[in-house]
Amino acid sequence: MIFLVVLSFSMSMATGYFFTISFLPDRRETSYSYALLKICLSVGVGLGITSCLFILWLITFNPDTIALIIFDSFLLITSIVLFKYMIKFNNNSLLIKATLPDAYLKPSWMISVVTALFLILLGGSVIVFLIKSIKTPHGYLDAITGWNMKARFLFRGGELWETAFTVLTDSPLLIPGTVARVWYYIGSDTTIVPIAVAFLFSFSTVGLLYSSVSILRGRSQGVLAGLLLLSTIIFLQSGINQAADVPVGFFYLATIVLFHLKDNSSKGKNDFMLILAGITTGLASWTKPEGSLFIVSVVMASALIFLPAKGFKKYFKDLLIWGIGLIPVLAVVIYFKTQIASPSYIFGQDWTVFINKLADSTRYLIITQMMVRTLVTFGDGVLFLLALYLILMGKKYIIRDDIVTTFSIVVLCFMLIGYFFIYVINPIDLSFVVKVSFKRLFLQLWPSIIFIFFLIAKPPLTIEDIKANEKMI
Amino acid sequence: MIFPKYSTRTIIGIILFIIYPFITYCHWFTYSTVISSLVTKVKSLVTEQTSRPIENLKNYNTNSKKPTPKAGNFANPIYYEQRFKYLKSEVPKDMIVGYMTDRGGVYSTPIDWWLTQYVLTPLVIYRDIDRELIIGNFSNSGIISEITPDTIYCSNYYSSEKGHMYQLSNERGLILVGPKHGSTAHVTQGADGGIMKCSSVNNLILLKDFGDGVALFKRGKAK
Repeated sequence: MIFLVVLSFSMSMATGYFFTISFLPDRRETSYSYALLKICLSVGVGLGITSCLFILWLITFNPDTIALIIFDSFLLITSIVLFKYMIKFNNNSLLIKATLPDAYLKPSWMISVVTALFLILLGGSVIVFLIKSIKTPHGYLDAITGWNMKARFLFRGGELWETAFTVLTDSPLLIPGTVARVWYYIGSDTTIVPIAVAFLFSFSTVGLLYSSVSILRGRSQGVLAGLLLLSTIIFLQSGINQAADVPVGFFYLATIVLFHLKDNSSKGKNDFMLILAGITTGLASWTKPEGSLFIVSVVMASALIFLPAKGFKKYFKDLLIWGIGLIPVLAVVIYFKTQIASPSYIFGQDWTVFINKLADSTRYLIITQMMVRTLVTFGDGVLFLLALYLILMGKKYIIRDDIVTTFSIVVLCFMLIGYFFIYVINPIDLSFVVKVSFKRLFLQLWPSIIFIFFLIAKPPLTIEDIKANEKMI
Repeated sequence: MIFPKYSTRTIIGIILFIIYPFITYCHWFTYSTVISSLVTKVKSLVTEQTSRPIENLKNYNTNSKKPTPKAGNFANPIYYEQRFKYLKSEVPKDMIVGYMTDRGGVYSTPIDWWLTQYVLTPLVIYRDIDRELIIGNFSNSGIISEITPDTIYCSNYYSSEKGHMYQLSNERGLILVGPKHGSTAHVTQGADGGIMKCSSVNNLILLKDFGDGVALFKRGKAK
């Protein structure tokens, strides 16, 4: 059984790896951070793509394990062929413009202490994750009633799996599809699989955050970013609970990171990273309904920031390239929403109800109060820590017109505004729904917030480094 | 100076980041079930060892193996897997079945229904009794033998006052069953908060009592 579990995950991740490196540029010098970034992206992209195609396979063919393995092998070969083909065209290279090279920062014992703490916390988190997951193998109620139940329907339902969606919510199927796909490989619905999926997404998010910040701002910032994410208990707890907030947060982060890497890819004419960003944006909407809001936020923020800065022609070209990655995944999401899932309980309401709720000022007040309260208490007051750190360290030391960071901030702001208005029109008891859900919605944005924060904040430089840096500028 | 290379601001900033995980993890340990259960286990072991002789301890451990459903078990999928193990094989997998419960019925939080649905997947369970087969999920098996048309009442609408309805159901020992799946339209509230005699249960036949509050009913011919 273990062999088949490993085989199924390996097939997914290998497929994801070849897809990912097909669109990512080379970095001239050897960089462990860049290798880690590729691996972490491969996990999410691989599981996402195979989950998408698994559902299409279920819709098209009768469920059969051997046929699925052949289908996945074909997909893997396709990704290798794509990689070989893309090598000819992908002549970009990643040149980090915005930061000093890692080697410039002299190793200091203070950073070594933080690195040691990060590694201890990482090891401890892995152990705690496994112990708690063994204790609650089915996950928390959301996982049981949502993702794992859907996965069981996909696996146990055979040809009749679609009938399940008369009782289930309209949430998309990235997690259930991933879990059920592995169950088809092994022929049994063991709880090891959802635990493994939650584990992979949780620690890939940490890896992606660490590696991306390390590439763009140096290893010391990367370690601090990873340390902060691991210290946010709700993140780890949500992973243990097998909640889909962590995977969707992974795809938000991946998209934003890819936009930043694209900005640092300065050689060559092809922006293939935008295709990958389109795929990760689409996979966010394949993970949770909030992912659809993310697509809208990215489109709106890019129009607001990139259109005036780049001009219509360049903006439209970039949007089209991004769309090449997005549209295939989005097509699957739209098919699922229109043909299989039951109507959304929020958007299934009468339009007069929408208007009445939008006109009710007390709803705005309640939501604002509850959201502010949640933000203040989130992660034991971590937002105050960030504010204090920024005051102490100051903003980043190389000032330049960074429109991608502005774009990322605007995307996250649009997400928060979107959440707010979804609450306004929500049919469920308002105080209750904001209280139980907003901290989790904010958690989805949390890795991206940490990423942007460490791009903005100055790294912990020694006095000598600061002087040398001033001379360089 | 302890940190000659760094400015004071940088040192404070880094120290904040070093302290923060200690604060969050300590806070987590105060409410973590893993830690609290470990502490309770250790405490109980220490107490038992000091207050009981070894032979008594052996008896105590044997007795403690008896299955006694705890309040927390009602939200535990493992407990549900055990309870519904035998019912699973009795019902065809491609059916849509009804559902009833004594724990507030449609006015309870639907956790018990979700868990029943989870363990019996791919069976589709609707929270009504207008089906050929109906699954009963009760607090204990004693209730099953007491079910008569007089104890089952229907509620024609979903009240917004869930707490009140739940209390009403518990006070009277009534089993409330909800409106047909999908028909959330309010019919008549009625004088008694929407609870009314439910004619459709007159022909309810108990097919099998699986123990531990789990039962399977069938709709027979109307009397």
